Amino acid sequence: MNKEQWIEDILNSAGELKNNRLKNDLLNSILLKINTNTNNINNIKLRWISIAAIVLIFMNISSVLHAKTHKNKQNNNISILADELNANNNYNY
Amino acid sequence: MGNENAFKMLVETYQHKIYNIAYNLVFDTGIAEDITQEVFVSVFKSILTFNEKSSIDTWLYRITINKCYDYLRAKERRKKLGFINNVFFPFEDDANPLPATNHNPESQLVHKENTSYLIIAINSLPLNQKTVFILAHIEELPQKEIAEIMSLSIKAIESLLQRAKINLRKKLSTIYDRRNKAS
Repeated sequence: MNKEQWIEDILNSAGELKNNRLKNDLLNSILLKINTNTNNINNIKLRWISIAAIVLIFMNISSVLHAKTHKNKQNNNISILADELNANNNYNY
Repeated sequence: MGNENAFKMLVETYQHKIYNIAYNLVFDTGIAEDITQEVFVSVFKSILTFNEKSSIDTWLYRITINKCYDYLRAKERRKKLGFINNVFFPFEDDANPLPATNHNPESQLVHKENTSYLIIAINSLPLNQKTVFILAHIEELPQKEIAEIMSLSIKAIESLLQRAKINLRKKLSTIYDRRNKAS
């Protein structure tokens, strides 16, 4: 067979490559992969929700502590002012 | 439940087609199976984004081709990095360009000699020419559909197909000459 004919025969046999078939049905593996992916996404979501919750709790504690400290400072200042006023009054008397 | 049944029907209808395209692009039964599974997982996740402008076949083919391209590009990158290893730890050349069917020794496709040469020739094509040839001459899709799948104009598809055939003839000519020299 000459070269050209040989090449044409081979190119014309391309249709035979359409006949590849899966050995096994992939449905179950596909469904398993989908379930695994869904579980992974849910786990990641839960992780982020936990982190967000911890951050919120920490921020709340911080602001409560800050408020307490601020209140204490205010009270101290008021006491100092009251003492000074008293001292002035005593002096005036 | 209805959605699950619909999805199962989709898988049963299209899995062989998808596998066939994947196999002809990557020429590895194991990888082609993995890609087929990944295609349907993607379909499941993104079914809401299917806009019905294209047919479901076109959509599935497009996803399949993109997944195959991702695999082939990653393989190419590993090969290039492997070159650095080869300088210090040279190993045998892979002189056998035939498809890796060792994952599935009971492959249903019997590789006759001529088909093997065709596979070698197709495998030597640049990726876009290879894809167009596979879709046109193996999957026997109309050019209009191929253009839609690959997001190219019909003229571009015609041009790629022409170049693919020229390159295939060149490659087969080389194989023919080598065969005759050997005998």
